[in-house]
Amino acid sequence: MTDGTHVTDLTAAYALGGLPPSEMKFVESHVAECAECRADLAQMRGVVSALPLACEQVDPRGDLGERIVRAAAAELQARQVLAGSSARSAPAVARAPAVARAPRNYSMWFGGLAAAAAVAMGFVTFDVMRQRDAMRATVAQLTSQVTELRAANASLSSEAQHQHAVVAALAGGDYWSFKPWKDPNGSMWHCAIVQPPARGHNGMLLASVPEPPRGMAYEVWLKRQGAVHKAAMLTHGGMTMMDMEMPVQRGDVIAFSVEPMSGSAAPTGPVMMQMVL
Amino acid sequence: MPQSEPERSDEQLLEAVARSDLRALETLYERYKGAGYSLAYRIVGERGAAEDVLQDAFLAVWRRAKSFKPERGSVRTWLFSVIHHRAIDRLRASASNAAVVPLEDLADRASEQPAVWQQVWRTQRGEEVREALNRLTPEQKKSIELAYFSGYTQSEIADLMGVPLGTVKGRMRNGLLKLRDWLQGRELEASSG
Repeated sequence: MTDGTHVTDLTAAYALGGLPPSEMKFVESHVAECAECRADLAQMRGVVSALPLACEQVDPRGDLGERIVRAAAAELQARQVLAGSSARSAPAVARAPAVARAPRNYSMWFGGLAAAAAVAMGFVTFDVMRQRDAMRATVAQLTSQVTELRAANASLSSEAQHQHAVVAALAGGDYWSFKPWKDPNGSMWHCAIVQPPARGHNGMLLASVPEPPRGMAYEVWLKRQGAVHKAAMLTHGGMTMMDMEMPVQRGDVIAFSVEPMSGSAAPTGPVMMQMVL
Repeated sequence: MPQSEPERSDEQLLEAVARSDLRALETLYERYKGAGYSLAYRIVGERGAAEDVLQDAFLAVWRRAKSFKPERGSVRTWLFSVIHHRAIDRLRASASNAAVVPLEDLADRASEQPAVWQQVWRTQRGEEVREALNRLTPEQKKSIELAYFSGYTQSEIADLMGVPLGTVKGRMRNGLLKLRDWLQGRELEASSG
């Protein structure tokens, strides 16, 4: 009975899921201290666990198990990347089974672009305050290279605008570079944020990242004064230059997390990396 | 020599899942997909939603396998509890947007759903549990079903059935104790948790 000593009149409802949250917490705190009620609750839960067997037997579709394992494998891969990015000097985590690994199917074009991006992003990590002129020249050179590479793909013509915007931004805007690091798969991550000086222009993200887990994407978040805003979405690996969804400023926190391809309203997956601007 | 998957106990499988063993997760799914999906389908009443529930539940098991506490019950109990909670959450979320269903209809939902309780049970286990449920008084059975399969709290059930809260508490507890007595000594012995 709920007489201050025992809660056995609530254990059946608890096991059946028939208590509101406040009473559930009450029961949980009580059974944590009371062996008699804990045993009673375990008994009730044991009986309740037989109820699903009485349901009409319906089988799920045949591919559901495969989908579950695939999603679990993707999460595992994301966790491994996270472990590598948060503690590069830590011991390597267990590698995912073969089923967990997304194939690395870069095209030659894409590989060349990624290499160019790595060089570009690595350069951004230099002491840019003292080497601005050199960086401008390098960015211009890389912009030219990227433009040449992408000339083969007409669908990427809009990227040229980003290159010009980057150069323009570097002529007077603010920028912050992320320290490059290597994940457990040996892939390098490079990121920089640029805030062009033009009034009303959003921040720009320059990133070279590995392929996200299969079926997932990297979502970029901007945290300011306790509020979290969606900032950008990276649906594939390689080099990316894209406008963010709002201007950035000193003190903002930029974070990457693994999310579904459709994006999330708030971060739900592992946070790959975060940095204060 | 390593054990083949069918020989591993639920507890061994869950320990392996906690070590990120995908094959163990797959085996656990194969072992419980039928009962788990049937439970989800019984609660949410729609195949696609039931699959979502089952996927969410197994991914939760994948993420939280390390938090399993054997002293609180068996793996089966825990797994069904995870599926049940997700299904009820889904049911409540959809109910908030659904048209109001007369309470009498909800109370009799079990007997009105196509083939539920009337179909031939595929397994001996199902027959045993059904038989045990049918040995309860109608009020006990209805109280248990409304809580477990329809997501009502005991207070809501008291309002639905027009009886004091204490009566519902008694019906639930006595009903489960009767089930335990019936199932004990069989394969579904309740004390095994």
